[in-house]
Amino acid sequence: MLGYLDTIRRDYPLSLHGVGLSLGSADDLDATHLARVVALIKRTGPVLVSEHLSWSAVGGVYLADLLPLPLTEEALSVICRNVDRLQSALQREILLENPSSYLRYSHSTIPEWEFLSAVSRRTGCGILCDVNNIFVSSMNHGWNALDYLSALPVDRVGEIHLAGHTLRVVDGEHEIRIDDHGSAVAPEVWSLYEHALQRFGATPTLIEWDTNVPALDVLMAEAAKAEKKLQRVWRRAGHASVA
Amino acid sequence: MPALLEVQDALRRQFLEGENPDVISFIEGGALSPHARLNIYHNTFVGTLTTALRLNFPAVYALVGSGYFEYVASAFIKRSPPTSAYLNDYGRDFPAFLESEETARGVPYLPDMARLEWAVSQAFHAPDADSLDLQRLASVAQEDQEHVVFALQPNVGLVASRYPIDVIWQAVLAKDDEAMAGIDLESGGVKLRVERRHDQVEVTRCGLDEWRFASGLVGKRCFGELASDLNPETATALLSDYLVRGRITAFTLAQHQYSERLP
Repeated sequence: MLGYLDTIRRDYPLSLHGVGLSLGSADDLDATHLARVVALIKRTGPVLVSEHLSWSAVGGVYLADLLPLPLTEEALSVICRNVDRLQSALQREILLENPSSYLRYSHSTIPEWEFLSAVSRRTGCGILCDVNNIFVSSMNHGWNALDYLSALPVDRVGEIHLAGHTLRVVDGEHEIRIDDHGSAVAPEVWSLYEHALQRFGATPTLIEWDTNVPALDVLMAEAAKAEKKLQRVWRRAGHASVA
Repeated sequence: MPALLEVQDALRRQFLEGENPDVISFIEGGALSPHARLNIYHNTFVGTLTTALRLNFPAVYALVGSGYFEYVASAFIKRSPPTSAYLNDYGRDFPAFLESEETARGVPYLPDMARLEWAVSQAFHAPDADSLDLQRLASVAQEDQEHVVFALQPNVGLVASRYPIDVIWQAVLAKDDEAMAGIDLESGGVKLRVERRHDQVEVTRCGLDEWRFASGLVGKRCFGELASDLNPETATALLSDYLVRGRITAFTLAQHQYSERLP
């Protein structure tokens, strides 16, 4: 089955994005899954490899979601240990993505943007800046999305993600935004993306639309919108066009 | 301050065992209660795994409908959550679970259908393995040949049922109501070889000789035993066919074990 990926790899660079390594687990990484990921990356030679600032497994059970971490010194040490182990197994740097979240732990002591920057500083990993996730979490928790962007180290951001999200009303009155990758990128997120490009420069960008997948031309139009903004930033930096 | 492992284990218990006061106390409320916030994650947990089961068991899903499938999947997820993030491998125990589920008894062939779909999924996702180099086999000494244990390709599986599940499977996936209506459940059982060839999974009925031969390979029985069970000519012909079709990946010599089992 991997033959398809080999064929695509011949003509296009790949960015491999993981959701299952559970880098925030207090338990050790799943050695079998890690070996599977290492083998895939060796086989396909992707340009970028990324995972999430989250956890999914405990006590040998995989909970099938990107669960938020308590943002404490202990959790910081744990995720740094696991990122170190992953990077050492892969013999390369990874990018770590900020999650969208719907809850915060009362014992968290470190703001998420500082936590993510600290993981990058301690392990040497890069950052995958998911602009939609910043917007979703900021709206859900009352953060300032521009402050979040401004706190990330410019030279460590290696990829940007954009996606659609849903505004849900719970108990008839409380709004919460859910990152569901099932619709067009929201206008506020496009605006935040422009801020991100101004800060980080022209950065490889992926639009995640993997539920309620639209017709290809709709998806291509969304990608073209991002491309146009990227080109503008690239030209402003004195380059002819994005390669 | 709770330790990270304590928090993570409390969430696991919340997801699998229900409301857990420990985890509620770790979470900030605000406009939304901790319970409502946790529910968002719990819904994704159940939804993602239900989708994984639906993808691995599409005919079971089509036969019972989305409402019952969600009910039975939810019960299964609680009892047998995945142990790995590799969700193509989730559902090994689902056929046995369906067998034990009182509410599924109305469709007597459902567990066998699930077994067939599990074999199809395993064949589809099995790693590519090289076929046996026949030169290696030629190097086995004459006196050792009956002690050879052959390894079957990981993309080949076997399923038996007292119902014509292959015909039902095809009719259900093709949404062929007419074919479904014409199926006689008492028309006799089937023995099936499930095999990936050229990126497609084929389900083929086996004759009794092939079934005994292939089951023997799965059971790691040596060729001498297979030859005495069937007869040497039949076993040799089947082995030749399996070798030519690339269904054998390797062999080992099991002289000692075989000698012990000989009468």
